[in-house]
Amino acid sequence: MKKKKYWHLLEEFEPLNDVRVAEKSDVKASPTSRRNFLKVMGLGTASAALIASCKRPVEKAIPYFIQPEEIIPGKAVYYASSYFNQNEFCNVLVKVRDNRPIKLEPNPKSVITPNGTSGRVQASVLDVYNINRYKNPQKNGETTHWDTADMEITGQLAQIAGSGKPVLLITPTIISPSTKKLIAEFAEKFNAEWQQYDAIPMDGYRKANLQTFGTDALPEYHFEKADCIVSVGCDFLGTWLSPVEFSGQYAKRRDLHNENPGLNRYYQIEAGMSLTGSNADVRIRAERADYGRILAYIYNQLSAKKGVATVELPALPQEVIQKLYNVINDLAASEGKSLVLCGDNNPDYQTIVNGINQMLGNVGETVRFDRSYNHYRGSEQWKETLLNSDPGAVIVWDVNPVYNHPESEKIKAAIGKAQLSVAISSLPDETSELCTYILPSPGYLECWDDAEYKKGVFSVLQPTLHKLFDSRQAQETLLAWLENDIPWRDYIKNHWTSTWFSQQNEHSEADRFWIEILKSGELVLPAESDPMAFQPGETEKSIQNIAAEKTAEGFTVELVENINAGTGHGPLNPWLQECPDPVTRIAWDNYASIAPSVARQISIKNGDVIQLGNITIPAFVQPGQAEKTISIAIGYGRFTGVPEEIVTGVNVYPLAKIENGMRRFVIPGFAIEKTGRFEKMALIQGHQSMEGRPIVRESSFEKWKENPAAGNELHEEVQHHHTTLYGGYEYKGHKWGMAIDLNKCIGCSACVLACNTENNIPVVGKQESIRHHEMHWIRIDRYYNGDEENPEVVRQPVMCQHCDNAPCENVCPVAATNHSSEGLNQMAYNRCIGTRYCNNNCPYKVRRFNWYDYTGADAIPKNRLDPANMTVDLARMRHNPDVTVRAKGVIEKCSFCVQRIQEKKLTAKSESRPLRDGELQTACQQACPADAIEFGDMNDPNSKVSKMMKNPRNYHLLEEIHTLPSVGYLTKIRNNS
Amino acid sequence: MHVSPVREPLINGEKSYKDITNDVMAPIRAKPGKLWFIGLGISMLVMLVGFAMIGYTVWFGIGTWGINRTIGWGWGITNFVWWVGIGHAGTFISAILLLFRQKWRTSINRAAEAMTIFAVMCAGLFPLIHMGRMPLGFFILPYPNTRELWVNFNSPLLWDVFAITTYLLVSLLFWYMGLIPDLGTIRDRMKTLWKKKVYNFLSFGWKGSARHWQRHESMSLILAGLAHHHFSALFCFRSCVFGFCHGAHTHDCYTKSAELPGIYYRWPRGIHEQSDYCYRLHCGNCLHNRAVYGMVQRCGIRALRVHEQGHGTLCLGILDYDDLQRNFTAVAVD
Repeated sequence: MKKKKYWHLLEEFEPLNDVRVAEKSDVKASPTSRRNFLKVMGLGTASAALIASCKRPVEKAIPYFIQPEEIIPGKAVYYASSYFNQNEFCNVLVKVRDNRPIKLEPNPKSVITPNGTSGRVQASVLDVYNINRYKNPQKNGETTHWDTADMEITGQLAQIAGSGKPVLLITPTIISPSTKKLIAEFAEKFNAEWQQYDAIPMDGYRKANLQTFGTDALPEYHFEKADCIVSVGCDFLGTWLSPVEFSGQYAKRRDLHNENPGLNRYYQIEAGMSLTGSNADVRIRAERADYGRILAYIYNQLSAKKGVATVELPALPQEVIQKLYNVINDLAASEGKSLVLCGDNNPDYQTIVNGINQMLGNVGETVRFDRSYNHYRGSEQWKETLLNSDPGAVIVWDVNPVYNHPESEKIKAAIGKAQLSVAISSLPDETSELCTYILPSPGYLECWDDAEYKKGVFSVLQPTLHKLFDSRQAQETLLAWLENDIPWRDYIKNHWTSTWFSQQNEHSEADRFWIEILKSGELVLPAESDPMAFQPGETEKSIQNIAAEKTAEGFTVELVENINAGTGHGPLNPWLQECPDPVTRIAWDNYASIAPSVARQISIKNGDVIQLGNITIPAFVQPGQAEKTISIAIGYGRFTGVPEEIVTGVNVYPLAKIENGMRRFVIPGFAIEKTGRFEKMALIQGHQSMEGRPIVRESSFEKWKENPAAGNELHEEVQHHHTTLYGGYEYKGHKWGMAIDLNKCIGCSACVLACNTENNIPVVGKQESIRHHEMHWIRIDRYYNGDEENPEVVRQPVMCQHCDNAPCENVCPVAATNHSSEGLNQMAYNRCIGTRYCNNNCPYKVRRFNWYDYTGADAIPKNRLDPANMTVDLARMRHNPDVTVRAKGVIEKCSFCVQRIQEKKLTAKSESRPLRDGELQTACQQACPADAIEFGDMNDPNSKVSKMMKNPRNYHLLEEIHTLPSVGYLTKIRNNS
Repeated sequence: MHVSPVREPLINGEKSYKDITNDVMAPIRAKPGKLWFIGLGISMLVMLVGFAMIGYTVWFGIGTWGINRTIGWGWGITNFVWWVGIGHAGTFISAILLLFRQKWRTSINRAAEAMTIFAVMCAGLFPLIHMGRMPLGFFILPYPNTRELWVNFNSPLLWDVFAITTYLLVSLLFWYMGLIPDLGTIRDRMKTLWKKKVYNFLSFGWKGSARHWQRHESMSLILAGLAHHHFSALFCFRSCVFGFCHGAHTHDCYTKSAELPGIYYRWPRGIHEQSDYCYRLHCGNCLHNRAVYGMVQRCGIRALRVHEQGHGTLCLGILDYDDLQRNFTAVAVD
C-alpha cells in the first residue's frame, strides 16, 4: 500500500492577552396576550418569573397551578415543524420540555430530510433565546403600541396607495403557500408590489433553465442515482440548494457495508477548498475564472464523442486538460447515471451545464423536474423599484440588504427617503435599524406557518412556545392591516382544508386531516412535472459568450458561503461562531484564503492582514487553493444585533458586483497589499500531522474490492497481539458502542452543534478559542495528505472513545471517572475536583476542562467569563434539563448521551419490552445528515453497530496502545483509481 | 576534642564542649538585628503577593495559568517537584548521610531538615492550588462518609497526597527529635523560670544522660530509615512517572541539591561564628551528592522512555527492571 504522507501545516499563532468578562443584562417581562391556555399557564408563569427579575436566586421551581393534561414534567413532547431560513430547509421535530424548545431532531417521516439536520438547524434553537431580540414595537426608536402602530401604518399606506406611489414589500423567498396568498391579498388592497430578495441568489440558474428548458424551475437532483458526479465549484454538501437532502443522497452511494457496493465516483473541479470538494474522490484544482471554459471544454469533448459539432474555445491550461480526461471518460460511460453541476450563478455557465446534462441523458433521471424547488426565488427586481421608482412605503420583512447588498449605500438612502418605512424582524440588523417602524416578529419556533419546499411536498410549522417579548408574526401583522380578525393559524388551516384536503384520500374529515398533518409534519401530494422542453442552440450561445470572456488579471476573489456562518445570520449565534469551519478549522472569523505558493511569494503567513480593494482582512494559507483565486466567506462582519464582544470578521458583501442585472460573487482584478498588521485568529486545529500513526486509515475502491480489509492490515496485527494479565470484564446486559463510517462523514459539523445543544456545552468566545480552550465534546479532525498544491483531505469525528481499558479512569485521585457496567466511561461532575490528570492521560485528548467559570454554575460569585451572554436568564432557557451544567474546575467529555440511554432504557422497561436497535440515538447520530454515526448495543449480534464492528474495514483509534475503545471507525475508501 | 589522624577536623578552632554550647546559644540569646527585620519584611511582602495570586487563581480558575489540554499542570507540577527536590536534599543530609555514617553532616543537618520542612510545605501548596475546585479538595482524603466512597488508590496523584503528608510528618518528627538535645541545652541556659519550664516541656525533660543519648541515636536511625525509604521511593518513582506523564517536565533533586551548598556557603558566612562549622568540606560533599542524584534520576527517566517507545504499551507504574539495570550500567559506564 502506498505510504501516505500526512503532514504538518504551517505555523501557529501567538496568544493575545484579552480576557473579556460579560456583564449581566436586563431582560424585561412580556405581557401575556390572548393565547393558548396551555402555553400561557406553562411558560407564561415560568418565563415571567425568570425574565422579570435578574436578581432572584437561580434555583426556582414553579409548579403548575393547574397542570395541563398532556404535560408531564420531565417528559419531553415533540412537535413537528420545519426550519426554513436563508433558503435552507429541514423538516424537524422540536423537542419541548416544560414548554421550552430545547432541541431539534430530524423528522423521520419527512421525505426530504429524514436522515438528519444541518448544523445551522441545530443551532437555531438558540435564536429564540437571544437577548438582543426586539422587545417591543418601535417608532423612531421609541416604544409604541401595536394598535397605534397599526393605525398609523395603515393610514399612511392607504394614503400612499391613493397617491399612486408604489408600496414595496421586500421579503426573502417565501415558500409558504398561505403566506403567499395573504401577501397577494395585501398587495391587492394596498396596491403594493411584492418582491423577493435572497442574500445569495440563484436567479442565474432560473434564467438559464428558462433559456434551456423553457421553465424557470429549479429541478430536483438525485445524487443517489448518479454513478459519476462532476461538480465544478458546487458545494452541494455544504450550502448549495438543498444540502441536507443531498448529503443524505450522497451518503447512500458511499455506503459500502450493504450488499450492493455502489460506490459512486465524485470529481470536484474547484478553485477554493470547499467542504464538498474536500470529500471528493478526485479533486482537480482550477482557477475560478476558468470555470466557464472548463464547462465548455467538457461539453465540447462530450459532443465530439457523440459526433455533435463543437464550438471554438480559447485553450485551457494543459494540466487541467490532462486531469479532465478521466472526468470526460467517466461521464461518457455513465449516461443517464451521472450528474454535472456548477456552483456559479452565472446563467451562461448554467446553460452549458444544462446542455451537458441533457446530452448525457441525465435530464429525467438524475435531474428531474417532477418536484422542482420553490425556494431561491429572489431577484434584483426589488432594487429597481426601490432605487428608481421612488416608493412611498418600504416594508422590509426579514431581509437585510443594507448589510448584504453591494449597493447598500443607495439602498440606505432610498429607505431613508421613503415616507413610510416598516421593518418586520426578529433581531436587529443593519436594515431594520433604519426604518421608522420596527415591528418585532418571533422566530420560527414561535410561529404558525406552512411551507411547500418542493412542488407537492407540504409541511407545517407549529409554535412550540409562547411568543417571547411583545412580538407578532409578520403574517398576523398583515392580517391586522387587512383588518381581518381571523387568527393566522385558522387562515392556514382554512387554506389547507380548502386546497389540499380534497386532493388526498387518507382522511375523510377536514379537522382530522389537519390534526394528522400537525402530527406528522408533512403532506406529499402527487405533483405535475414542470413542463419543459430542451432548447438546443442555447448552449452554443453560452459557450460563445464564454469564449468572449476577457482573461482575468490579478487575483479573482470568490465570495463563498460557509456552512455555519451562512449568509449573515451566523454571527448572531455564538454556537455557530464557535463551531470551527470544517475546512480551515478556524472559528469566530473569516479570512482570505490564499494559495501556499502565493503566500510564499508575497511572504504572508496566517493572520497577516492584507488589503484587497477596499477591505482589509486577515489572510489564511489554504492548501489546495488555486493560485490566482482568493476565497472569502460572506456572512461575517455583522455589527448590529451582535453583542460587541463577539463582533468578528469582515463584511465582504460590498465586493460583489452587479452584472447584467444580477449580482456576481466572483470578482476579478484584485491585488494583494500587505498592511503589516497581524490579527490573531482562533485556529482550533493547528496540527495537521498524524505523527506517523495510523489514525485515519484509507484505501482505494479497487483495493477494497479485492480485499475488504485493505488499508486496515494493522487491525489484524493488533488484535493478534492483544493479551492481558487480567481477565476481561464481562458486560452482561448492554454494551454500548459506536461506529463511524469515515466514508460517509462529510464534515458538516451538524454533530458538533447537536452535541452542543444536547449537552449544555458552554461557549467560550474568541479569545479563549485562540488559547485552545474550546469545549466541544466532539471534534472533526481534518488531515491533509499529499502535496500542498492539491492535497487529499480526510476527516474524522473524534469524541470520547469510552475505552474499556481507559487510561483516564485509574488516575483520577477521587474516582470521579469510572466505567459503567454497560461499557460507558462515566464522569461524575460533582466529585471532580479538577486535578486534570485524566485530561493529561487521555491519548485522544477528548476531555475538556472548565478553565474559567463559563457557565456560572460554581459557588463563587462575580467570576464569570461569558463573552457571548450565554449565561443570562433568557439564554439559559436553552439548557437541556437532563444534563448537568458543569461548574468551573470540572472536567467534562462525551457521555454517549447517557441521558438518552437512560431515558430509552426506562421507557422500554416501563413498557416491559427489550430496547430495540435504532430506538436509542445519540445526539450526534441523530443529527448527522449522512448517517455516518451508528450507535447501539454491541452485545446484540443483530444490531447495526455489531455488524459494523465486525466489518473488515473496522478499526479503533490508536488500538495499538491497548485502550480497547468502544468506538470503531470504518476505513475511508476512495474511488480514485 | 578528638582529632582524627586521617581526615580534616569536623570543627575548626579547637573548641571545647563549653565553647560549642556558647556558640550554639549565641544567636538565640541575641536580639535580631535590622537586617533580619528587613529580610522578614521583604519575604512577608512576597508571601502576601503569593497569597493574592493564589486567591486570584482559586477565584477565577485555572485558566489564569495559561495551560491547556496537553500540558495540564505546567508550572504547577514543575515547581512542585522542584520544592520536593529541595526537601529531598535536606532529607539526604539528615537521613541518608546519617545511615552512611557521614559525621560531617551533624553541623548542617538541622538546618537542612528545617529547609526540608519548609520546602515540603511549599510543595504541598501546589497540589492544593492546582485543583479546579479547591474548596472541595478534601475529597482526596479517605474520610468517613455515608456513600461508602473511597478514594482511588490506583491514582499516582493520590499517592502524592499520602507521600507528601508522610514526608512532612516524618521530616517534622525527625527534625524535632534532633532538636530535643538542643532544647535541653537552651533550657539549661535559661534564667527565667517560665522559660525553663517551656523549654523543659519542649525538650521532653532531656537529661543528657548516656541512656538518653543512646535512645536518641536509635530513634534517629529508625527515623532515618523511614525517611530514606520515602526519599528513595519517591525520588526514583518521580523520575519514572515524569518519563510517562507528558504533562510535566522535571528537574529534580539533581539540580536542587546544588541549592544546598549555595545556602550553606553563603548563609553561615553571614553568621561569622558558624563558619567554623560549615565550610568547604561540607559544601564539597554536598556537590558529590549531585552526581549520585543525577545518575539515579537519569536512569529512571531513561528507563521509562525506552519502555514507552519500545513496547508502546501504556502500563502506569510498572518498571521494566531489565531496562533499568541495563541503563544503570550504561550510565555508570558513561
